[in-house]
Amino acid sequence: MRKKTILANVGMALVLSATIFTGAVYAGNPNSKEASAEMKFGFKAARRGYWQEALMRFEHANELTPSQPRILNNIAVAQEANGLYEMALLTYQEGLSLDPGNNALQRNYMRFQEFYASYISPPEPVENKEGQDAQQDN
Amino acid sequence: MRSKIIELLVILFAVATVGNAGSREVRIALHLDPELPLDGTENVFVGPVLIEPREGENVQSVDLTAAREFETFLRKILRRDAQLHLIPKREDLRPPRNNLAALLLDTEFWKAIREESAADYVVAASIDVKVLDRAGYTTEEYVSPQDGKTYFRQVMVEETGFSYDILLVVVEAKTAAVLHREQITDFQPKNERKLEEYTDMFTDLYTLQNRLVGIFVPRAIQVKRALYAD
Repeated sequence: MRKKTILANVGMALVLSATIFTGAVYAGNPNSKEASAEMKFGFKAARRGYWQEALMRFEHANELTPSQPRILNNIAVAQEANGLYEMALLTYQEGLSLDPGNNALQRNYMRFQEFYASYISPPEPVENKEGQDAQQDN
Repeated sequence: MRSKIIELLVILFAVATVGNAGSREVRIALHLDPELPLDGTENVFVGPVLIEPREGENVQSVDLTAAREFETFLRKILRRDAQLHLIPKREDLRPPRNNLAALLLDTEFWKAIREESAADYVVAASIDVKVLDRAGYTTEEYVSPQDGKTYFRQVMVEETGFSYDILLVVVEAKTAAVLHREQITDFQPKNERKLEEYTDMFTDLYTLQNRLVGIFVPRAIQVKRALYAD
């Protein structure tokens, strides 16, 4: 009996908070339903590996409900998957500037930065840097 | 009273989880362009692999084995993973210098390779391998869980394996221009039993293999990202 009460309370709390959260995310925008549908479609496409389609859907969702960190996160991931690394970097930064506390964005951005620094824009070799410094000194 | 607190905590946790709801981990393949724009029709000559021991050290037998093993490894990687057309090995290749930096300035040497083997590109390297088989004590900080004070304690450290320092260059044989340089420093741990076995010393050295292949052909890296489902 006691367990049932706890479960019922947790269930109600989940439903309430989900409703409040979703409402807050898409509040006041008539396009929110369509944007949500585009996000779902994009996610399904991404899971199947159709990243160009996914990117297109996420971008459309962003046009419908601009400046949503969740959508920007998905756009950044899709840009990564499509090899658009410079754009992904900017999109992550834009998303984090809107919601610095977003866990998914933070985690993705940290992982992306590691990849970016290692493979796309590795630090310059020390000897070149010294050469540049010497040139600057001159 | 206690069960009330637990119930409250569970509800708080559930609410906090919803705040991050819809985020799922997905695997994506990040594509990387090769360093050199090859179309796969080029003839590639592998060699020479020079031995350049560190300052103050002489050439040891392990260096000779390492140079031979590295050339074998390089040929295997370029043929199997990069699927390049490799020109057969030449046993009579005698570079006029043993220093790769000096050899790169000798344009006649690279042009001669092209004339004799019709190579488009030459993949050359210099290598230094050190066998590490040492053990010793080092001092490290230790915070006691009993009194919270910091103490110092002696810790046994073992280092057993091969330490590599490799410079790989890709030279355009026609012009003797250096198209790409790759400095690779890595460490391959070995257990005591295998320390004396120098064959296959580069096998399973993922960093080396990954970077070598990445010079010549596109590659993909598997990563994880969080994606919102709606």
